[in-house]
Amino acid sequence: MTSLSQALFASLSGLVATTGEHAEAAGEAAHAAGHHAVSFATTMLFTAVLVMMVLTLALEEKIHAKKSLITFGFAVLAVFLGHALDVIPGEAMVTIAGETLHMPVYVAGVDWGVIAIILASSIFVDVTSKSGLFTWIAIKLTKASRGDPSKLLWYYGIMTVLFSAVLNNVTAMIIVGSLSAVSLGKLGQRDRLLGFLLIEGLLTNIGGLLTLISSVPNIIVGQAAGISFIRFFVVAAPYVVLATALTIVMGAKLFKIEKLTSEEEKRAASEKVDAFDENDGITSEAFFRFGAVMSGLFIVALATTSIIPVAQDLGMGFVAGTFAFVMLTRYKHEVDEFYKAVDWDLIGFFAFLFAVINVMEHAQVLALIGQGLTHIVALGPKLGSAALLAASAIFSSVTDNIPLAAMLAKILKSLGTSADSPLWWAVVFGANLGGNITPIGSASTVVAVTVIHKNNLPMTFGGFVKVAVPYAIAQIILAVVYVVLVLS
Amino acid sequence: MTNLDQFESLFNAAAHEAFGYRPLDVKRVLVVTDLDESDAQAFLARAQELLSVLGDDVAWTAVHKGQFDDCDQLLDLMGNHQPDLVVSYRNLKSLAYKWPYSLGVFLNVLIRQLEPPVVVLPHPKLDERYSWAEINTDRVLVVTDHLTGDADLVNWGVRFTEPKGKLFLAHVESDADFDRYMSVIGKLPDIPTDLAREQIKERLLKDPAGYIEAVQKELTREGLDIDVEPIVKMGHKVSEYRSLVEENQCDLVVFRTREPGNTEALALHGVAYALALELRRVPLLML
Repeated sequence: MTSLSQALFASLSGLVATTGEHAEAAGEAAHAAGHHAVSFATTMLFTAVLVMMVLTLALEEKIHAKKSLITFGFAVLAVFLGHALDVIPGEAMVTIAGETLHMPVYVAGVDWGVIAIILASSIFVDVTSKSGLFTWIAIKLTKASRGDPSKLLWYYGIMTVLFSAVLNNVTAMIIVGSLSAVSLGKLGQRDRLLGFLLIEGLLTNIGGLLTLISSVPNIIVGQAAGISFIRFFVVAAPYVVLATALTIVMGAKLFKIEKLTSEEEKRAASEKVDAFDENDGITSEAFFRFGAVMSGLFIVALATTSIIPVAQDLGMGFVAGTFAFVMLTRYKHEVDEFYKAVDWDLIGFFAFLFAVINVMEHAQVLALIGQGLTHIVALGPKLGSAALLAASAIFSSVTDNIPLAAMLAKILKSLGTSADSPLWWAVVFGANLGGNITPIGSASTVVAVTVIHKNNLPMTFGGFVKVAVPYAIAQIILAVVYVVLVLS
Repeated sequence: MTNLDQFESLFNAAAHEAFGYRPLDVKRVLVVTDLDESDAQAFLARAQELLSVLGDDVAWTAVHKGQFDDCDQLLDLMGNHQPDLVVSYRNLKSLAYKWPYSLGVFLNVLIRQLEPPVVVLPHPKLDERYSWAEINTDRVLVVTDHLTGDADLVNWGVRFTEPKGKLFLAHVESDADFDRYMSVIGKLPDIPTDLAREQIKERLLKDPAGYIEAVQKELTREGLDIDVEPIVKMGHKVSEYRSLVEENQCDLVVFRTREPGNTEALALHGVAYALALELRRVPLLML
């Protein structure tokens, strides 16, 4: 066996450890960290609960249950069992300026900072969308392409990456996917739509790497590791540029998306895209300009949160919330409509997931997994990072990358992993890029498949995997090379 | 706003229909009458004066009453002459011209059977034309319930408008159909009725208004000195169309008798025929 596969095997063994040695070691480490010791049997019980939850999440489409309900159920179970078995207390105490506040343990266990960023960002994006800014940008790029399919692919591809970075993967895919369907339909190039949608779906997960707020695993890992917005961008951007170019070039070749050649074709295509009106969705010029300015300030503010007085202590969630509030004042009579539009399933999913992971932490389950992870860490920064990246990618291709990122972030933090360690980046890259392997690997690829089916284009699960795997492998290999050679 | 359908709707709304100007060739005009030969020639002269916008390079031929007895013979004449345009009037070879209840069998057949459009003039034996009509065509009204994308209809309207003339592009959205759909929406709890009413009506009227702007831009770009005036409204009654003609003192009214690409469907939500009967006092160009 190669040392890489040995490491993978060892980490898996850690999950189902049958020897007491691992549990004992985990218990000792836990005690040292301030948690009270729990029995091996208790740890295994909670491990089973965690595995059940992960499996149930993987089967959410089959059982037709929303993610938040699944994690809600497991949070109820985990918290109940946790307190019944004396793993967690009934309440937690938080001291603020000398005053002690009591709150239920399941509330204290939630990372409200992450939830604040997600909630506030989604409201901000939702309100800013009403200004017509994103559709204006999208249509402007469409017109700039003059209807040439090759240029359109590059422009839409870059737009997908940037939108994924600034908005979120799902919103980016919705915008670019729906525009691709409309514009290619108008241009009489619907035969290219499947190629466009697949490439855009893959690019959303690359764009999700660009900034700290581009995807939830980034936020979770970034917060745990103490990586600032700017540092995240500086490290991730070179990879994102390379991977974007690689994906678009590969896609153009595979789907034969080429430039128009004859003058007649160019003229006809140009006339068709010229008829698009980028101002059609703008109901208020003033709000459009305001939205554009606020979007720019939003990025700058998040990037500089760590150096803005007061805000640096309150965190990015506070900054995002402030911007959301300012945008909401435009619709002060209808704020409830925006509240309704928030993806409460996602927010609930996070909150309950954090509650479960908090219990798992106290039950020593994470420490047990961490024992397996130490085999990977022991391989050294280069090989260890490569192994962790690959493992994260494989797991996140079949299950949600958020629980994976949340658990690994906790474990790496408990192992005292330094902020400069490439292991954090291995988790970030693996968790994001794994979503490109299967159509259920990420929410944005699910949206891509939805648009594909909505346009009656043939694409089965197997078909997607067959097309996507070469890209995913190329992206993961590039990420491994990048993490090993550049970041280690 | 992050809903897939919402963004698709936004982009569909932004994807306006482009108008492509296409100069139409009219080289052969056949004027069909039930008059004797000399009167037929006089009628032809009147038609030439009205349709002087077609220019001098047109071959005009008059058909008099002795040249056909039935529809088959008339259609044979059409086949022989292969006209690009037919000019005629209602109730050929019939006394029914005295009553405004029918187009007459010959005109009906010409409209239904022929490819080229038919100009229908006020009957020569009735002095019922508008005082401003039949001099030239510097005020042309194109009327439809589906203007957006119907470049062909607009191009015919452009063809018949004198330089420096006015082309009224009228899109009349059927309020009867709209009310019917709204009453159904009013029974669907998942669709907010007031919002649906407001937004659907807005979009129904916005698209044709945008298309008319595109027409004006394109005609200006092509160097055509025609002033395009938009008329976008809700309505359905024939009397409303007559009001449009009278308010704008139109010399020619252009409309389809059939939906393009669908010979089964009557144009103008079924009132094309009624319109042809009602607008007896003004020349019509029926496509």
